[in-house]
Amino acid sequence: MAAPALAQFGRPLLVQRFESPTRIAADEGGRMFVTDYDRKSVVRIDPTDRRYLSSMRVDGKVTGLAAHGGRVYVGNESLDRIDMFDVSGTYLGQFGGISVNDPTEMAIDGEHDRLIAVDTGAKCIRVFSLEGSGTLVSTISGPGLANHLLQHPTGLAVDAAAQEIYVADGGDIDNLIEPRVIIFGYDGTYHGMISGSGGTQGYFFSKPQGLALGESGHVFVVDGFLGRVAVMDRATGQEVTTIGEFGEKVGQLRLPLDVLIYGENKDLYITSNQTRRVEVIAEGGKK
Amino acid sequence: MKRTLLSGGIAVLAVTGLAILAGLSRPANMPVSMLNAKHNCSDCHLTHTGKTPDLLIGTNVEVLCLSCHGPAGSSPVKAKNHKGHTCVVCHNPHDGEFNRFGNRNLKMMRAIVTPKDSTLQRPVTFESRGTDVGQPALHSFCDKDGDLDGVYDNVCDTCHRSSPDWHRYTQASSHNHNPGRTCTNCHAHSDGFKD
Repeated sequence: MAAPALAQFGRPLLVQRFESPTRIAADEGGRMFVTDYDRKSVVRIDPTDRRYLSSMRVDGKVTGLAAHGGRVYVGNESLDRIDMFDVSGTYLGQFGGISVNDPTEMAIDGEHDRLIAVDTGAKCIRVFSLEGSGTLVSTISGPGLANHLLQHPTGLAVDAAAQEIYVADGGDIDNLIEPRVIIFGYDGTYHGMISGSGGTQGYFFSKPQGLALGESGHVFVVDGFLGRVAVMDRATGQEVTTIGEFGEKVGQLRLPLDVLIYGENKDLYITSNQTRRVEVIAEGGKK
Repeated sequence: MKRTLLSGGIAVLAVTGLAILAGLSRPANMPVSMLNAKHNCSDCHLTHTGKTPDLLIGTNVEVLCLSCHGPAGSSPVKAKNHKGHTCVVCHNPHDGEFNRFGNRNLKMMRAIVTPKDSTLQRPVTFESRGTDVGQPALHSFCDKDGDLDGVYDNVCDTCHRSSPDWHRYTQASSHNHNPGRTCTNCHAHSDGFKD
């Protein structure tokens, strides 16, 4: 099956603005942000006319990103912490009060007052209360060889209604643990897994990164290595379809790292790190 | 057929092992060892459904490396390519190669590097991470020709040596820019060895 065509986002302006686009997030007001790893900044873009609006400087390399309630939360890889900004870029201080060893990705559940972060270095999930400057509520999983424990966690998505956390995990081939998406309850209980192994090729995804949750239990898994998004069905564990293809041309993906389903039309936004672009597929989130 | 392949594989392994033990040269495309200590074959290769002639899972070696060592990758060791050189210009993903002294290079470094847009074949000797981490200056990042054989072959100075074309280390051919120290303390691989 041919991969659906992708539309490039904002060329040429954003090509110049991005050096290393990594994570993408939007807040409840529709404001959209992208972290730029090498430029140590968070770029705010206008999803309506696909313009650059502003950028905020971060004191370190940035990975994880979440936005809510007029605040932008940024994973600071260099300083092992989560930083807080307001939407205009004013630094508000450190969030959570603890060191987070490589906060690679974050998600927010405003309904339940939770910010949930991947602690890639510690191989666990940190659950914080959003109130004030944040308080650690619990730590989920941790390193270990049991199949349901995290090996190399990277991406994250949250289902607020079900109070579930989806974690992209690269597995550990040396110990026969395949790449997968692991699903936890907010209380840390193990709810299930979507394996990256299977299908006619032997794999659905290889190096899972950012996640997004679509309709009908569909989970969008960005694969940095294969250069595409695998749409997986949680119920069956099977691949529904794939979106995108590896390459450097406009519309292709080279080290894609995150995916966002945005707006009423459920457009799909994908950061393509090595082509320095954000690609958009209209209504891609409906798949 | 499977038996033939298995026998062939065993033969290749045996020949490779014997060749290494005997200190013999090996074909340029044959890994020094079949397995780097921190990676397994199936991290990168698929036996039957690989996408390249090398049976890689994905379609590009550099992206394979960056999917763990790049932004948001799961490895704590981050890297960015250096002035357009892909990872495999300097690194052999299967293991460090044996340098001209017969010792294995650190960090999966090749024994010979050919810089981009060049036909030069530069020897690389990288056996120590230098004085800043308590290791000998000799055969480190740049040792100011510490073995006095007239060959600048450390991992950085093999290119950044006396020629003014190569800039920085010997911009004035002084050879005095912190020789023996750990270059990456200031010029991080995660920043593409940025100035």
